[in-house]
Amino acid sequence: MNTLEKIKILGEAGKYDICASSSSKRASANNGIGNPSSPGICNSFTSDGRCITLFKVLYSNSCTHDCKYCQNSNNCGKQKAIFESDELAKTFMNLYVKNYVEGFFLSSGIIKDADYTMDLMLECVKLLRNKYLYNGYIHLKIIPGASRDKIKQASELADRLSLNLEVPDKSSMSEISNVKDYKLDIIKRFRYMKKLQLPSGTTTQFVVGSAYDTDYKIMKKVNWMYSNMNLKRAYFSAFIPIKNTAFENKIREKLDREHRLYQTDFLMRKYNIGFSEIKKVFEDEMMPHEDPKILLANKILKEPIRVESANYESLLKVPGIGPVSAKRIIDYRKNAKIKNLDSLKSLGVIVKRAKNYIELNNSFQAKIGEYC
Amino acid sequence: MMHHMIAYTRFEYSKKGILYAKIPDEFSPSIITHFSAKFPLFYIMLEYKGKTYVQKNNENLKIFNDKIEKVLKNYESFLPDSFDFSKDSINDWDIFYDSQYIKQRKNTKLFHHFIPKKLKHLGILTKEFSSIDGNKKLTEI
Ligand code: SF4
Repeated sequence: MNTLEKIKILGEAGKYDICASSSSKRASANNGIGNPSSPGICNSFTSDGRCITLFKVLYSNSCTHDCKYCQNSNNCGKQKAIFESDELAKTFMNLYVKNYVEGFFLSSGIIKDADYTMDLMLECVKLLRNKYLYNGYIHLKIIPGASRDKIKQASELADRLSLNLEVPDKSSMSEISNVKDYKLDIIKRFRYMKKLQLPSGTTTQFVVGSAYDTDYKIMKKVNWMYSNMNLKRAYFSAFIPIKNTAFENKIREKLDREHRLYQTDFLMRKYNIGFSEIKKVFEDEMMPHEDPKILLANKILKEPIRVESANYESLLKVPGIGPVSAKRIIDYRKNAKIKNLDSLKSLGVIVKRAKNYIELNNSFQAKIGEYC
Repeated sequence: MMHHMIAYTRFEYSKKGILYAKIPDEFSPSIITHFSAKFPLFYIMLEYKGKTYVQKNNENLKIFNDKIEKVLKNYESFLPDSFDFSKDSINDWDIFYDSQYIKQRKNTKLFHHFIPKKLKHLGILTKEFSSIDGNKKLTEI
């Protein structure tokens, strides 16, 4: 099989993995090729609107495991392929130096066992770092069940490590796989990663709707991972049934649900709103089809927030005010008085959303009947 | 726009250890500093409005009143063969690009939000626009 065929098969096999960042705090080595810190550069976009920043492929799509939604599982009839380490490293370098991509993302199906697979992936990454003097961004997937030693080696070569939880707990895992051990293969490996100093931390992904989970269960797990496992980010991917997999007839998850989970996650990560508050808005453990920030404001704001005196945390609870505009309001107040809604607008506040929840110059900004 | 210029410049590689590109008039040759810092091992050459800008490792910017092809002739190879990235990457890119698309998530509006239509005439993102246009009537784009 030639390299082009492998790129096609192993690119497609990895397309459901989500990876956003391509920048890292790792110091740049002099005279190498590339650097790890080009924040926010998207070299291309696909027709689904997702950014292509990284050359994202699997080392192989052969897998000993049986995850029922996965196109690479052992009983899915897809054509199998495997890269040679140098072939893959060189293919990536060819694209990288020509500025098609900003970094490298490598995952794999499990060939023989977790450590054997990790060895192949590490061999490729070592070639990049040592033979090709590649100094740019690398995101490596940790194979479920990989040993502490392999994870440590990966942490020394990559900027970011990730391991997919897929579902929030052991019982959901048993719905999607008869082989994967949630605690042993995944959570225990996160404990190893937690102890390592990774320039860009660790991330994980949930396949939302692959098992019968609630949003509450998923977000509770995400919150636990942020608090206990030093998780940097959680990604959510709405389940899409794939032909020839055990779940090919299962109903596809709505993209809207994925969107709500991202919004909820954003409130926890960027707005520092605790899960204990967020959980108040779930209905039957699901996030209603409305912006979680508005739902939350309706639940917890008993009276309008006074823009002239509210602290940063209170301002953040107002729909239409984000971390940047909240900071701008506080800075602005040090030197001047916020006169009206136009001043707020100029500070980046989405006034249309915020006015129902704020008080300015001792007067409530919504018209009678607008406050809910 | 600087962001776009950096993201959408595509290089070719000469065995002599040189990354070169012809950039459109809408771009600025000042992006050479970004690339020469990013790839200090190589010479970077940008052809812009008939002139060729050359820089290595963010030092000594040179400007020639010639096209790239002519300037390239004045440079000698200086890197070992393992740094030969001259294999054409267009096919690799086209195949990889297509492999990443998830049909069930198609979102033309978002695509055009991120890649403004005004970049279309530059001819750099040919693959991207042909993929999306192939799926839409021209009047819808
Ligand atoms: S471990 Fe499961 S999810 Fe990962 S490649 Fe194998 S079958 Fe797919």
